[in-house]
Amino acid sequence: MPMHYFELTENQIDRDLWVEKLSDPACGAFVSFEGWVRNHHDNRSVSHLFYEAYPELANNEGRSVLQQALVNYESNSVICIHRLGSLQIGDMAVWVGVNAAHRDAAFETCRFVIDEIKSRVPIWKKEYYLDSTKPLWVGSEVIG
Amino acid sequence: MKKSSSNKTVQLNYFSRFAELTKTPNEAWSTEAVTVQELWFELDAQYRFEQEMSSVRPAVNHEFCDWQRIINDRDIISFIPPVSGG
Repeated sequence: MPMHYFELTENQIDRDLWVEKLSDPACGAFVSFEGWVRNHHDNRSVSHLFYEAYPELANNEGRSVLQQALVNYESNSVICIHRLGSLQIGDMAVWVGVNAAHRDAAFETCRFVIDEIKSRVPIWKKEYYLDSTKPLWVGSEVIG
Repeated sequence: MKKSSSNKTVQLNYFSRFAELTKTPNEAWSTEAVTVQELWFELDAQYRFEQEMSSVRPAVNHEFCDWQRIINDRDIISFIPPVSGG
């Protein structure tokens, strides 16, 4: 059954749960993307991140991205889960999963979704640094 | 022709760096601004967001809108700083 699903969560992302939801005998391809918290950015050592969202608008935009992905590409279903709150190094911040009859559509859909989520969905991350300098909102603040 | 102006009270929701600058996640705001662009200028003068308008997107009632959107009484309005999800 084709579907799209977007969710913001403060809980750890359970990838196995979401992969299972994309299991479909009509689909020969499954592609996923995981965004993990890394320990560096712009040559600075990152200690942890904090994610915030505008929930109503982020859910509207997130669903819109997924709907658009299924219009643009011949994939069957797509799911995107994004974490909020405090995340530690190595935590999964975002998960995108796509199933499709064939691999080309699945790869293209997954790439489209993560790029659009990053560029237009109102979610923000604040980076905290090991060197005790002021934490920064990525994208709207620079090292002062 | 002079624009007609009337007082409206809107709810402003702030996020990310803007919430830190205003020191609140939301507030009621009385304004005579006709468009969201006029409201942005009013708020920028008050809080000095130091953010290029071209990198900000306005939203009214939980939907993105254009800068010329007319403000109505009791609208819920946000100015969205550059996003950084993922």
